[in-house]
Amino acid sequence: MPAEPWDPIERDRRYASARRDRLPRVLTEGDSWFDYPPHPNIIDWLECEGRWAFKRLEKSGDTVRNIATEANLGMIATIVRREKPDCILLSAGGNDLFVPISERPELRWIWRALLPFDSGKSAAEHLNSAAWDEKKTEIRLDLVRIIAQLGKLAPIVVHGYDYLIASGVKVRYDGFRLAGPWILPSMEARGIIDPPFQRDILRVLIDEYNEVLAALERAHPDSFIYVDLRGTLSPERDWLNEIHPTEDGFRRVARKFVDVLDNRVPAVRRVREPIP
Amino acid sequence: MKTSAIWLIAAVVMPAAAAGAQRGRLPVDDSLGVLVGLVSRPVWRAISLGDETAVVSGIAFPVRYLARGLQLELTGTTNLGRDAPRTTDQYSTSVRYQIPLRGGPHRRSVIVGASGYWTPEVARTVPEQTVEAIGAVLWNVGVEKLGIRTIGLTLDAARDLRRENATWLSGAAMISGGTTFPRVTIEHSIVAVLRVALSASDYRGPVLADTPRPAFGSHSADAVLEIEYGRRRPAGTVATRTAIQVGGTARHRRLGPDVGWVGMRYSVLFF
Repeated sequence: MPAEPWDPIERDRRYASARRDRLPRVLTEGDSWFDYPPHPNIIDWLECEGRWAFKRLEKSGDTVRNIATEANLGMIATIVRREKPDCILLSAGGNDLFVPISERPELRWIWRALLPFDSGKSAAEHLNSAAWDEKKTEIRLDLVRIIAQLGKLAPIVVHGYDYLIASGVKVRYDGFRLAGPWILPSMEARGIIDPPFQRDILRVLIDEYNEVLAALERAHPDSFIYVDLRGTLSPERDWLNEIHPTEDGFRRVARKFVDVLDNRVPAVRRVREPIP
Repeated sequence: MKTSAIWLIAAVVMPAAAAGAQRGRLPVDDSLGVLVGLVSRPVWRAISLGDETAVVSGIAFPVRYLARGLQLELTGTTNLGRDAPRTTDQYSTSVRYQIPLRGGPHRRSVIVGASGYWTPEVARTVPEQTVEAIGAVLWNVGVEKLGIRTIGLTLDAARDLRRENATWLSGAAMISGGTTFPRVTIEHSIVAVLRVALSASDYRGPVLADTPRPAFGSHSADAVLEIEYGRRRPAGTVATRTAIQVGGTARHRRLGPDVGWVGMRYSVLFF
């Protein structure tokens, strides 16, 4: 009986088959943009191409903080040394904005990043700069740790998501497990209720997160590849809930990764020193 | 009849293989696997092989050096109650060739092959030896709006080539849901799988054993619920699955009364 596509054992079976076909190997790690259970995600669509062998380690809900632990990086390094992938695809950072917070158990960390609504302030001025700068620093340091441990073994490709939407739609797992929403309740708790203004605040968040990634690429051009996904998804058509694209939306994003795997990864690999 | 079966297989394989060759390399199910289990009442295509507990076993291994997607499978059902009436052990050797048509989301495959059966038992309810041609079409669909990732649909066909050219046809649907519990060094998964099938055939069955072959028609309606625990090491090359199963078969009267069964299975996959 064929197993579910999200089943880790099934994924290993497909990887083993593709490896026997001597397809170029790619290791993937990260969150639900690579491991969305209810429908095909980015890596599922890339697998559909039949051109790469994907060793998949991603887990829906994972955070950069968890991925960058010494134990996890050690495990990944062991696999990378054995499998020698062309690159590591990493999807991470989004869930770090939605970790639980003690002062408001019904909300998530993104509530801390927001200030109470003030009609006299711009979207950017509604971000709590102290809290948001601290979070960006945490994420950046975790990514630096990842680069330090794995960057010398294979180039790391990281995306900065597209502009999220405060739709208030829950995430449905396998038809019955529900989670969220996370963004809309936090914004409404701060009195930010105007949808266009909510979108403007989220644009600032995503733009600044992408700037962090772009800076890391400039600092580590031989081991870090930043993929800009902003503007890939249509807000009206391509979002299933607050933080996940639809099946077609993920396919659109996957096309950008095809270009990265075909062109940018080989270009970076050509300038890297061979792994001893 | 045998010639027409060969032409039918060729008519499916050749265009499918040509279509597959135009795409990237889609993965095939070609890992080495071993399984062993117990079942309270062994049933093969709704035909009872016994009324007491039996051991089921099997091994599947790829034969890539001959053809990519080619797999050899050996399976066995051995009744533990040797003195019980209507007891039939059964052992089979199958050669299956998988042609993947679509990979990734909503996978689709065609499988063609042949199976040989040996039933070394006194009170036989199926022929002692036979060979059959087999074919299957597998395709996955999803219902995005309901968050249903996969409904697995299967159409199986088998035609006996040696004895009386009996045919068996089965359409099945499978749906599953589960979750994973990842740790750094070991990943656990729990999956519940429900499979339902409707089958048609012109098998005689044990009740009509001495009569002319019946017309092609109703064979059985089957349902199986399986709860499976999976375990793998992300950095490893071996995974295990442990499953418990509850099944029931409502079958045409020529095959005997309706039957239910429970079972458990342990399997190991080598990547």
